[in-house]
Amino acid sequence: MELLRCTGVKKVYGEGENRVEALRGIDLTLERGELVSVTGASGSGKSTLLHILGSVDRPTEGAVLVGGTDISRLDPRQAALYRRRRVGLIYQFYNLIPSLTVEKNMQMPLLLDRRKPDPDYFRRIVESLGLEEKLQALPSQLSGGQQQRVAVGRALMSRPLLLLADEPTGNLDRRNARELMDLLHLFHRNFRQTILLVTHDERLALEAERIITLEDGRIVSDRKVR
Amino acid sequence: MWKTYSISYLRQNRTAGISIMAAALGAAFFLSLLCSLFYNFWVYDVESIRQDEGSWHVRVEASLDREELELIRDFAGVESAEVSGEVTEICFEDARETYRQMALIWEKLELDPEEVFYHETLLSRYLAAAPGDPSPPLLLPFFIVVLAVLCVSLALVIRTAFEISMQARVRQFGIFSSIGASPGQIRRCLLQEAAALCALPVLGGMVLGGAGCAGVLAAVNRFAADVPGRHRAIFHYHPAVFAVSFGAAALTVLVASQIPAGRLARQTPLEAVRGQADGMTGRRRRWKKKGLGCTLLGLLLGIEGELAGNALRTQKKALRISRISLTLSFLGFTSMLSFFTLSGISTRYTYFDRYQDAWDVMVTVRDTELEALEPEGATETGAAFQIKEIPGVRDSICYQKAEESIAWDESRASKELRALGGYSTLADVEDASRIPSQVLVMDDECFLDYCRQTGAPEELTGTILLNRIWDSTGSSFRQREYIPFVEQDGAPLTLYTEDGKTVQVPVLSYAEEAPLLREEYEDYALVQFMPLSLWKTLADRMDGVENDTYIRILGPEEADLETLDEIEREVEGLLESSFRVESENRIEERLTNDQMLLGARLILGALCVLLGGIGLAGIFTNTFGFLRQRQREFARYLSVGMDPAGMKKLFCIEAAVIAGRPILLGLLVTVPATALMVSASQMEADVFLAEAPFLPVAVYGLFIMLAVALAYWLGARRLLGSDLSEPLKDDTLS
Repeated sequence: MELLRCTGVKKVYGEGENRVEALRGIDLTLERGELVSVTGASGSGKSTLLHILGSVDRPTEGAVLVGGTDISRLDPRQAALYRRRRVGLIYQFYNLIPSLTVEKNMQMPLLLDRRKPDPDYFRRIVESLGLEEKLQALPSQLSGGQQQRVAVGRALMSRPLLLLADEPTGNLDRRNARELMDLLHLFHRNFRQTILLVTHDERLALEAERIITLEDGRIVSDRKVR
Repeated sequence: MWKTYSISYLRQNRTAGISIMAAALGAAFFLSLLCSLFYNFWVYDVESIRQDEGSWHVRVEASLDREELELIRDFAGVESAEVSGEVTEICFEDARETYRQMALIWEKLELDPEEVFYHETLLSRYLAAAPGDPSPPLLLPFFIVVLAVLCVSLALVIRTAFEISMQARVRQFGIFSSIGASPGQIRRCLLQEAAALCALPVLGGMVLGGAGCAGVLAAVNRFAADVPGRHRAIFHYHPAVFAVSFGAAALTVLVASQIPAGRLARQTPLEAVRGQADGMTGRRRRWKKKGLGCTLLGLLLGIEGELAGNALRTQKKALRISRISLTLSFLGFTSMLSFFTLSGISTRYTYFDRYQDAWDVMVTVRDTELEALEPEGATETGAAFQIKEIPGVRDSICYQKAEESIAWDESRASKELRALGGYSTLADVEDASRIPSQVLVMDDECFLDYCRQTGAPEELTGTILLNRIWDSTGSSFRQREYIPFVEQDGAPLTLYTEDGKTVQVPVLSYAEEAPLLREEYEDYALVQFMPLSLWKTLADRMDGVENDTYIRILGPEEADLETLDEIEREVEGLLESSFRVESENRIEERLTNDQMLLGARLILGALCVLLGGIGLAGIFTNTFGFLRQRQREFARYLSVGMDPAGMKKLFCIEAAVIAGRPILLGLLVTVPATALMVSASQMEADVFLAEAPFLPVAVYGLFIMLAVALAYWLGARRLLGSDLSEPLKDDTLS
């Protein structure tokens, strides 16, 4: 079942001499429940694509349909609702709110929506992430790996249609990176979570079901691995 | 969001909160103080006018019958119409409507324009100007503009405080936005935070400002208790004062709190999140080329200089208000002191010193001929005689002035005047066949005294010429040298009469000195002193006579204020029953002048200090935000090996530039401007330099430097005391 469809997505930054074409016409579909990795060299446009899919950036041209809605046409409020309810984002640098506890950071998307977290679901996520003991800690009191796990938890709290991860292991050591990837597999398997993972690490990319390779803002390969 | 995020944010970021609260408190205090002072100044001014000149808006000097009076009283907008003899004084409910309403009344009653008088001084205080008045009073509008500018400056202090923490907030709200916070939620959250931070400081500032104003009035009342003609200022607080000052502060808080939301609205969440990480706020802002200042600082002070220059450039916007306020403050302060010094020297030389012995009490008898003071000549029944009999009066002269003209022939000019090219050359006129002549008509007895003084025949049949003209080619106006005006040939003067005919006036004598009077004579007029007896024979045919008569009185030698006051009262008592008189005395005028100058200095000085205060408040606000603003910057310097001494040097350079620039700019403008003023007033440079305000200027400059140094010391101490390695380890800490 198709979850996402991109048609002719282009993204241009700057003007004149500074003009950079980050994406040069991306056509892409994602099926519900897929674990897809997007790989490519630095500057190939993979993060730009992910940010457009997460509606934190807008395409210069083209359409991005998620569940039948073109997210490139949403007004700021609708875009916020989309990010809050339908997509979860994980960044390389965690982007946690330093003044909030781990618990509050994780629950933030629901709190923004004035929804109470499902205690059962929250407990399962926390246990899966191994953060039971850290719920009242502040981000500054956590290691990098723990902070990234909080970011994963936050991204999953609203049970998003799509989980987008931008180099989530880029700032972690090998052990923490492995643990994080295991977690993503776990959520993919247990919750049938659709995940789009941006990485330049070939080995991590190979763990996905499908690998999309970008080069100079274009998809140069799109292949099923499993 | 408020409960979840803002409360914890405020608790954990007390420094940023305190900066904003301090800025809000300070700005609200000054706003409230300024508005209250302005309002009280206005109330005092209006009360003074009412006490001195009456509280009527329009005065109709015509006899109105009952019906006409009823019509005025029933007219819409008329508050009262009080009749006193032939005069009706009208007050309107809204003073600003006076001219419009009165025009309608005027039309209805068919009044003669000469019968209607507007109380222009009072009406101007309500910003009511006569329609079509080419030069309406601009003092009040000027003060309102100054007040508005100061209010905007103070409002910007609050805005700056919010702006300092904006960068970090933009990133945090960018994160919120990326996880689904809507723009409305972010705006509401910011508003709630601002309200929580600023509500109490703003209200506290309002109260303190009002109290400060009451304190200032109490101090002014005590300080100026002895100023003659002044009434006690009573503290007033109008709801509009609260509305304006609170409105300005609250509106600024409201607008300033939305800065991050505004920035977010112009960015994608991605740009907002990245803004902090790469040190820039998205693609819109790019590093500009180094400015001349950075290059110079780099050349002079090495890498620390260049880094300080860069830091100042990035803080340019945040420090803009401070820079402008401090520059204006120092410039205003130095200019004011230079101007007052120059003006003081000038007044002393041209007025007080020159007329020191020329008068003690001056009485102006309005709309009165000199003859009225000596109706039967110099007899005991005349007021001129009776004044001389007042105890303590050493001498008195009654005189009237007239501006006439005489027929002139260059052959009458003295040889000295002819040597300079004659009258037409010296006075720079083309037609010198008819030249001005100032006539001072003196009471006969005084004229005879003057005859004795100058050695002229003691007669009342001719005039005495003040035979001198200013040699403007060979001397300055400040140190005038005179040459004889006419040849002393005894030939009569030919005066032009009202109908263009001439009349011959015998010349009794030529004098080099004028009688002891507080008079400034025209530069190129032939001055003559004439006895009243002679003037009476001419008066009907002359048209240049002034309406008023003057009485110059000398009191005892070394007279004090009390003695002169007593003489003044006696003279007024003698004349008031028959004449409309105004009087002044030398000591009181000097005291009033000194106190007015001191008052003007204090007001302008306070304005300069207030501007300086605004500037320094901005700098303190900025340095209080150092920890948040510059931790990453200094962490980077630390990571590349800069030691604490280098960092301190960097701060010293920044502080020196911030404090030095307004001082340098102020001096660059004031010094040439003062030199120009000194030169234009033809004053010797060393006379000015001997009294130039070097000390207060130096003290004020030092005060600015010390205050900026203190602000930087406090900011730097906190920044250097924090763990600068933390931002390098963890990107989320901001």
